[in-house]
Amino acid sequence: MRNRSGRLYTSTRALVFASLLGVISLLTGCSNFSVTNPGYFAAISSTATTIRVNQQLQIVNNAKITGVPLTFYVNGIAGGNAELGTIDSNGLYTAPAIVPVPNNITITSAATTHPEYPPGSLALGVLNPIPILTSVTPTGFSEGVTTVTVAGSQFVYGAQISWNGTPITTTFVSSTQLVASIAAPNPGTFPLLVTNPNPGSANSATAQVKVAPGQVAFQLQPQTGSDVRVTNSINFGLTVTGTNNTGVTLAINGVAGGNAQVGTAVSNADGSITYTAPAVVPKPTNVVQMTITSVDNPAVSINQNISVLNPIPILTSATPTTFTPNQSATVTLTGQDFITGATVLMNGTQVPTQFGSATTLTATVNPTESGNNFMDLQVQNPSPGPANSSDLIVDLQSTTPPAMSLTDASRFLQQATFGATDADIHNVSQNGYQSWLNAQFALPPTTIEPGVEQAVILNSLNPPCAASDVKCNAALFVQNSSDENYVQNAFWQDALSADDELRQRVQHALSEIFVISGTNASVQSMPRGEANYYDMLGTDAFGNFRTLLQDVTLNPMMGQWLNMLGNDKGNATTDPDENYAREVMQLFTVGLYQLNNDGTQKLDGSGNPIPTYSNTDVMGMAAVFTGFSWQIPGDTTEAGWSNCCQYVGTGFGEELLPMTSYPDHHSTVEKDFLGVTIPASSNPDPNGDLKIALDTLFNHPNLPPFFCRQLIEHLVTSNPSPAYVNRVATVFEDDGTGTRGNMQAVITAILTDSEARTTSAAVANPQYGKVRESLLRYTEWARAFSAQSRNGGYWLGSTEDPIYGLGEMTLRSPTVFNWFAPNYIPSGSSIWPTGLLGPEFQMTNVTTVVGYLNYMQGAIGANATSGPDVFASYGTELGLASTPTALVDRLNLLLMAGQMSSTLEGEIVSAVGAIDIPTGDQNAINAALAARVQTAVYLTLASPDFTAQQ
Amino acid sequence: MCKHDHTRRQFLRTASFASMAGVSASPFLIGLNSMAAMAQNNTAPDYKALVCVFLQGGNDGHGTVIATDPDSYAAFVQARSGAPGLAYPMSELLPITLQTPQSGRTFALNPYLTGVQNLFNAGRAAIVANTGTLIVPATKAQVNASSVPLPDSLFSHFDQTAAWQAIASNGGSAERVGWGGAVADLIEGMNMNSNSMFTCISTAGIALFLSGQTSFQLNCTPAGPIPIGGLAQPLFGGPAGTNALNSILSATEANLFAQEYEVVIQRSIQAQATLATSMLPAGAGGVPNPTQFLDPTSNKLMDNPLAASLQTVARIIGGRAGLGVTRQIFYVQLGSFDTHNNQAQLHATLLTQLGEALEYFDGLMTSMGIGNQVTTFTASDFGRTLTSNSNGTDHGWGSHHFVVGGAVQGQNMYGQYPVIGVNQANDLGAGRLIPTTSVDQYAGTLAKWFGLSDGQIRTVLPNFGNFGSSPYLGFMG
Repeated sequence: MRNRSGRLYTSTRALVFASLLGVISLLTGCSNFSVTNPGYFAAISSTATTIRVNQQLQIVNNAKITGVPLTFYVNGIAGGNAELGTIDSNGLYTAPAIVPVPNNITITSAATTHPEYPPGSLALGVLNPIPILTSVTPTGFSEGVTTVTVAGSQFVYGAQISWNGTPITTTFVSSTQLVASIAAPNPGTFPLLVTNPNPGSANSATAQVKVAPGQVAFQLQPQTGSDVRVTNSINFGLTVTGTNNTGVTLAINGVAGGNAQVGTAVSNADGSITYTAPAVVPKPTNVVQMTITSVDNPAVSINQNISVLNPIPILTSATPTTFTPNQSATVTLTGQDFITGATVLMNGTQVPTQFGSATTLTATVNPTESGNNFMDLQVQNPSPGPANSSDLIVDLQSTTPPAMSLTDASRFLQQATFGATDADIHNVSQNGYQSWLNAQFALPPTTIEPGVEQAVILNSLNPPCAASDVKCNAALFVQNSSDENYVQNAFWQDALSADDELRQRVQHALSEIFVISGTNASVQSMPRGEANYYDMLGTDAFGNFRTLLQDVTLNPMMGQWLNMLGNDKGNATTDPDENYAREVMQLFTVGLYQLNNDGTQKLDGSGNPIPTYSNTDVMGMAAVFTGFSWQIPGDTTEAGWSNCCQYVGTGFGEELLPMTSYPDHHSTVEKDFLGVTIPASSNPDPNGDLKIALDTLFNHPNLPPFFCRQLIEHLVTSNPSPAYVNRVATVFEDDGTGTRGNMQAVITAILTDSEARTTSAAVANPQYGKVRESLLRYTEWARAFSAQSRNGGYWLGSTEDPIYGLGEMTLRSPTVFNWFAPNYIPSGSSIWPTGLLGPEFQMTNVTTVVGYLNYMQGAIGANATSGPDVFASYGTELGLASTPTALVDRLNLLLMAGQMSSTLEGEIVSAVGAIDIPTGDQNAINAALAARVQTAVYLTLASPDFTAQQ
Repeated sequence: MCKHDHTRRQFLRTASFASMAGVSASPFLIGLNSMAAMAQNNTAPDYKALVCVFLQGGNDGHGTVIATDPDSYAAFVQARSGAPGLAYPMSELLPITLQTPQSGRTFALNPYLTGVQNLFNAGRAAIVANTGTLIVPATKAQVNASSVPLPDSLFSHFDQTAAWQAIASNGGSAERVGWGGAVADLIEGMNMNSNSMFTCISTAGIALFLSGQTSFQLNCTPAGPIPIGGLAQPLFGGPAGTNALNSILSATEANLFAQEYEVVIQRSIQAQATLATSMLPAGAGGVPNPTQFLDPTSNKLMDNPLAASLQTVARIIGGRAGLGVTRQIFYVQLGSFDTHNNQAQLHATLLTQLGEALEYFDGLMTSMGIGNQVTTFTASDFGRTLTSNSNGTDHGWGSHHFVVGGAVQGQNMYGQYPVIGVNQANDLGAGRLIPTTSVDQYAGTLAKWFGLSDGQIRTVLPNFGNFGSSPYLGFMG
């Protein structure tokens, strides 16, 4: 906006200055008054020096001569103009609509009829208007970033919205509209105003804008369930969405943060929550409610029930320790963590108990003559969370002599179980091997699949699937690679606590022969399927080998692992997949070389071993294993041939059913294998062909020695004599009733054979025995000391990590050859020149030996409140810790079947004795006793002595 | 299909050099410089290392190195048409030019082997064609008639792995001594290493390849050597337990198995003490971490397990001055190449890992100043069939392999690339190749470079002489 009267303005300014002087002289009464004095005719003034746009200001006529009309000028323009503002003949100045540039204007006045007389003048600054804020849209919003429109009027370009006192980037839309993006991280009421820029910067009125809390949502994830024993802690993961303010307040049963009666809850830095149970189960109910409330929006909260359970009692000693049958006696039991209502168990049966204190109980026992020379005492704490202490074995005078020594019984159980307790050892010692075997054969299998299914459903972060929602169920059960740890935890629960000990040990050995692994993505994505495969091995462990072979062949997990599932008949450009055909022969049934019945290799005329099969046999058998895929009951459309995951829901699924046959996909060419020919046919007969193939393998003369030798290696010794193998293979061929493949008979033959049972010969032979694989060393410890799961779920997961785990885990071997091959010999070793086998050495290297030691250190040192979930209380051992020799003797029996060398024993007794037991403070005493036990147990399990099972 | 940008790989390689050359205050640069200086001050300055990269499961050689002349390529496509994704379009193959042309044909690499293509074009990689386990050279007629001795249990993973790693004189699982271990036995006898404990190192558990008669192997993971907690700190109650543990772990054992187990523990203790101070750290101040690779199937960036293994090898090589070695043999493994199923996706991922890891490792060796002193070579149980089952391929025999390093006479193919097509002279059926180069020849060529005499080589490889008057293959010059 250019001032066209610029030059005039400048000279007028000089006049103004001059006229001011004139005015001053007038006021001071100078008598030099004349018409030439400025202001005489045209003096003007105003009440203000500034004016806002569009406003009006009356210029005051201060002329000395009244009645002289004045003409007014704005910046020299008569009457002004739109840009500078207008002024009428009465001197009413109206400011322009927009501030001129520069914004100072000069109003001058001149006597209309005497323009030669000095003019009056005054200066005005034109200012921006005061903004008017009419509305804010939206009127209120949720926390976060919101685009806000401010409506009103008198907005000038450059106007800024201020939010909560801070100017924010503002978009000028028009004089009536501004837009800005407001970041409001917290709820509340906040001032918003508009500020127009200079000249004359001014604020609008303030609007108070309400910001509501975000849509806060919680997701709580129990990490180890919601049961916790007194004084223990459990963690919950917490995810807070919908707000930047993720703070929460916690209350237990309404008490902020909880207290000593109901337990306490704290938030951790990572957002998770830790609940610590009180020292005593709360009353009247052991279930406390944890309430988590959003700080951001206190209306949002969730509840989580937590069950507080009684502690696990620790039984350390009894007085007396000898009892007579049919004589009632009072026994005093000493230990820790006994709860009012605790009951003493005699051989598993409750007996009248009187509560003394947390550390003593008395009970009345009246044992009957049962042929046993021992009694098994335990303390059982009551609900909630009933739990038994470990067993305390006391003597019972009996007329029946034991069947064998305790050490022989222990040695037997090391071959036949995952590990044995004192009670197991006494049982076998008193009643003999056969009695134990019979009882074990009669026990039904424990299965893991139902528990795995439950765990998968319970721990899903998604809402439960409707039964008809195939997609949802498929995602949960057969496309779910995140839940394999439930299979592993279920394995541990059974392995460490279930009673079908013999079956489990054989089942585990079978899983190392008929290998599948979760390292295969398809297997891993089906946790129920993986669990079901393992259950099948357990069920068939005591059946017939032919059934086992069929069940393994048709299991869809094996089908995915070795590619039989969906294996199509060949055509001009493709051949059937040979993987299963090769491995079923090489690994599962007949092996690579022809064997004599005693497991030694047959040799040809030149002294070379004779292969059992050729590639032609493999190709022939591969053609048999075609046309099998997912089973969908009732399906007639062959949908299951290439399409998994359509028949799946709670309690059922394709992955749990044996594969079924699809004749269209079964090869009809001539199939030659192992001396058998299935002629070409126009009628595909998958089931018939399969039967022929499996029967051929089952009846192959190699099978008995091949399979039996491997089972002996897994249970008893790496290098059975040929005679031993022959004896067992003979039982495989005929169990005495004409039946071939009787697993129970084979197992009995292996475990009762003199080569397994004759301790003196075994111990005297430095080449007898085997390296215990690391997983079995762990389970031996866990079972011997009745290790328990702190939270009930046996949360160990996979122990396959070679540095931080055991370097081994069931159903997780890297290849189909298991963690170690049955014929492995460690080269560069002292074993190599002997020609003996040392299979378990294949998983023994400088990393895994350290991993095992460090893992066991952590496991052994765990207790009721800290360390891995599975821990031992060492009840009886604590009772012996004051007498190191007695303690180590006990470990010798439990862990090494009495074979501990005197050197080793001396070392451990010394180390234990070097730990002082203080006096006075009971906690310190308990800690020292525990340290003694842990030291002794660790040194035993760390010793190379222990590593070899003889 | 995802095709890696050749120039991007180049950039990453040079970028890593630049970052080391640029910032003079880089501790890594200083560390490597001093390492190189220390290595040169060794009494036996000609350090050499062999690195065996075992492709576990049987790598499909047919799909790794492809003949692209019209006849060969047409036969390849025809044979591979039975399974999805295996008949690579010509436009996706990575062409390579041999310095010495072979049989008038052209060749290319699998689309996912950009790393190897880079190395090949830089003259730092060579192809050894149709190599496999043999006792004597064999023709198809001889194999079918079983009229020549053959390795036992062809097409069996377990036995062919043993045959590759142990050069069985009779084949298969009968042999227990790996040729790497046998070489190490000789090396230690030649006093080239003052500490024999660190001659043979595996990052993949116990490898038959490194199992010698007198030498033994250590294994090491990316976590480095781990101390025994009970020895490093007081055990439960205090020093008495730790002292007892020390005693117990070195006690005399009567039982053979206990005795051997204890040997392993003692080795672990000794090795850890030395490696802990000598082995270079991973990442800043040591050996730079490998980049992640872009998995072609999931299109996600993922950690490269082979590169991690080779980084561990490089960390040990970088610390060799403290280990007292001038000759080392390493074993790393990548699996599973047993692609009966889903070969298109699985092989793509595996070869991406292989190519990038080989390039990364070669770069590390060069930056350590020993790029001509470390030779890496691939090995595998066997190749695979040329024809497919509906989704992959089955076990084969001969396969093509790569040798990588500055001492390699690269950008060339050694051995004879077979004629591609059904019923060819070397085709035992379904494209299972009868090898025309033996593992013995492959191993002998490497061993010669490594420093063994001809006589020593023939001791380690008893069948070496069965393959002509000069069985050496020439890829090491």
